[in-house]
Amino acid sequence: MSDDATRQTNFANMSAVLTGFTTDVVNPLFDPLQLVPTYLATADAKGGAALVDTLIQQFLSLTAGGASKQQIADTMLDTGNPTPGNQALLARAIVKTWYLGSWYSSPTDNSPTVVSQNAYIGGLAWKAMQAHPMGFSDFTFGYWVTPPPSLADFGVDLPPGGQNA
Amino acid sequence: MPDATTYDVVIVGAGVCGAIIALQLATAGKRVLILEAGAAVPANRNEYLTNFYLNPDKNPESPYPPVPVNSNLDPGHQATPRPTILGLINRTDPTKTYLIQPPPSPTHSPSSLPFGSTYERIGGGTTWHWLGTSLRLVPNDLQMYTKYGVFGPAANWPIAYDELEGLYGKAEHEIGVSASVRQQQPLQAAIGLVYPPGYQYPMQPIPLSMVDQAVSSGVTSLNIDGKAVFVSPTPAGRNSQPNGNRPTCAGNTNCIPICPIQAKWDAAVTLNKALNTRKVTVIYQAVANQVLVGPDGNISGIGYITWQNENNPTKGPQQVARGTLYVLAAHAVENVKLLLMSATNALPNGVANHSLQVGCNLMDHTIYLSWALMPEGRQIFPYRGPLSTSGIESLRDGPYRSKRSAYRIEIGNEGWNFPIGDPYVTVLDFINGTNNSKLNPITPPGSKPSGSSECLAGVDLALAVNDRLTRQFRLGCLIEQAPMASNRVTLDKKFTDGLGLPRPKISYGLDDYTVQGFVSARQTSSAIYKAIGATEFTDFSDRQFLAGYFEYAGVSYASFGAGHLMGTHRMGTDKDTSVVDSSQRSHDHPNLWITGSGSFPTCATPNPTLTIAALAFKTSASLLAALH
Repeated sequence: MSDDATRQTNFANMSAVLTGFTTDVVNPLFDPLQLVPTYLATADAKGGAALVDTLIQQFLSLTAGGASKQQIADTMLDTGNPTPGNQALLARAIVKTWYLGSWYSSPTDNSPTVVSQNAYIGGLAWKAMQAHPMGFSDFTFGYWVTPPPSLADFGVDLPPGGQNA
Repeated sequence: MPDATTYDVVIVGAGVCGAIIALQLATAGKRVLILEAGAAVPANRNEYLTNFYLNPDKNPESPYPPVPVNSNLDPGHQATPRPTILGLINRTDPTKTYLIQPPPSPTHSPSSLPFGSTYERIGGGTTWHWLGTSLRLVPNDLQMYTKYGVFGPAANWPIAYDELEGLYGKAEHEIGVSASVRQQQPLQAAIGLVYPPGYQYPMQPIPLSMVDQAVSSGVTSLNIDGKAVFVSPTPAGRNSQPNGNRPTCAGNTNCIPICPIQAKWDAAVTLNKALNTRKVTVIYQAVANQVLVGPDGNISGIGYITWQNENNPTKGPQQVARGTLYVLAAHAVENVKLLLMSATNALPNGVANHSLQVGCNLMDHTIYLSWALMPEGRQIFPYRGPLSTSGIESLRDGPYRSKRSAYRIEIGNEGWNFPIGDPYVTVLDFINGTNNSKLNPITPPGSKPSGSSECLAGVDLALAVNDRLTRQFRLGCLIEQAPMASNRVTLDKKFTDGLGLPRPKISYGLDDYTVQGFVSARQTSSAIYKAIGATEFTDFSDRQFLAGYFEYAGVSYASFGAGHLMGTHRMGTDKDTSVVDSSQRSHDHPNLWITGSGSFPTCATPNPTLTIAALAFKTSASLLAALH
């Protein structure tokens, strides 16, 4: 595997843990949306490739140290810190992009940029709601009458025992 | 340049009226020219869809040209600017708003507000982003003065309900309305809705969402002002089965701003049928700027300007379209603009304006919006299905209409997307550790936060988003606005568009009758949430930034536009108090018809498109009779 391919795979695995979704959703084998390379390029351009590399190293190090996925996500987004540093802010921006398809340059940015059409369509927030992007339904007539497939079916990486475990 | 003698009828505007009338005339063998101000109907909707996906503001206008992003387009330099939500937000800046709006009221009085609704100027018109709601008026809607003694004699519609009933049938079949007469039956006793014996809608009804089901089962014992509250499936102009070459609705939850698959009817569907007759010609990017009146009082032509390039347009020469008969179908504001722009020494108040009512009585179904959260563990899974599939229609008529506005209540399937801009706001709250949504922690109005806002990551984030967003829903009361001469569209003398044409200037506000409708709508909405066991979050007290913010009796409200522009060239029997007759024919000029919801003398409560379409069938018959 080339360095670039390895870096991209690491970014995909990191993105899955930070968002709480499985790698099958974030980085599917057959991937029409190609969001992993798109978001890696976006993160490099907006946050700087060096800081992205630092994040990836942090992810690999935490993983190698045996931290749980939830611990890794909390540590990298520095969720206990109301004034996080640049590294955690970049991690948060990457999660926002995965969820909402838009790049937010700061916590108070109210005019974000939609990264691409595929980014909007691939927003994970809609899956976390067991729904679909407004304006892009893969469902069929009448699906709204009954409950949706399970959260696991939508790709949330639930801990063993399911949603309430 | 079309041959000036070729056309039987010249129509201004390729929207719902223009398309239906063109099809009816062409089917009868007549030759029709349509002048459409804006861009052509695209060969497919991918370009508009891409605009929608990429626009950070998912407002109704977001897919359509000229595409407004962050309000960076100056209407003063556009060929066909139109009102937009971004323009409304920037309403005091004429470089960002097409409509010249009243200044903000320092006292937050409802008597002076900006007009909150928008429309499109493109082939297919504003039906690109109509909801599809296809409700009929009820008999008392046509007789507000006679039945309830309000609004004056000119408020009575000059058309019998029996006749309108037949026209509704034609409109429902042209649009393709999915509904069931049997399901609407309870509304006969409640509000007088009747159908001719044996009538059937063309398609089976759209099934109710889980949100609808929760509201429906929760309100079974609720009465408001002596009327039972119950949920009715909404007749909708969207396909419940394959229909021609258009697919069945897939529940994209995006009827507004754009149905991605055209399962929802829009005027382009009918326009295509009209064009297939080969009797209809459309000139796009042709802005009508003058209705020419001959010495005999008949219209002799429509002056128009073609353009290239939406921004800083290049203008073509002034041209004239000529026909035997003329139809204005440019919607409630642009029809008025055209009539007023056409003033001459002989007609100093504009064309068709003997009554001086052109531009007056601007109305909207001003919306009282409210929102709530179902109890923990009671997921109702919004953000699925069409934007709305049901409503509470049983309160649309009652004795209270002698004192206050009635309303219908639209049940939204899009969670808190309209009220607060979700899913964005809540997701950002849980990543940033903020609480703009009031859901992190759950903090209803008047309560203290149970703790500090959480900042979440990983599965914790996904679960929190799931918990909050799958319990959201909202109601929107569409309030009948009283017609008032002072709610008015005129021409602004100072500000022009990119073609040098004057821009519409608005005077607008809510009278006490309408404000009392708001008061009732607020009480009713809260009673519904209580009956369902949901926690209400409606609170406008910290939203003074909203364009429609007002205060009444110590309570904060906001009036939202429904996108329903009505009343500006009202129909009636008296040429001194109305602009057109029941066929939408000008009282002043025998060969001119002025069509659309501008002709409504009152707005009642139903979304207007079905009635616009019904009246277009009557106009078509009137035109054909005049041609023979």
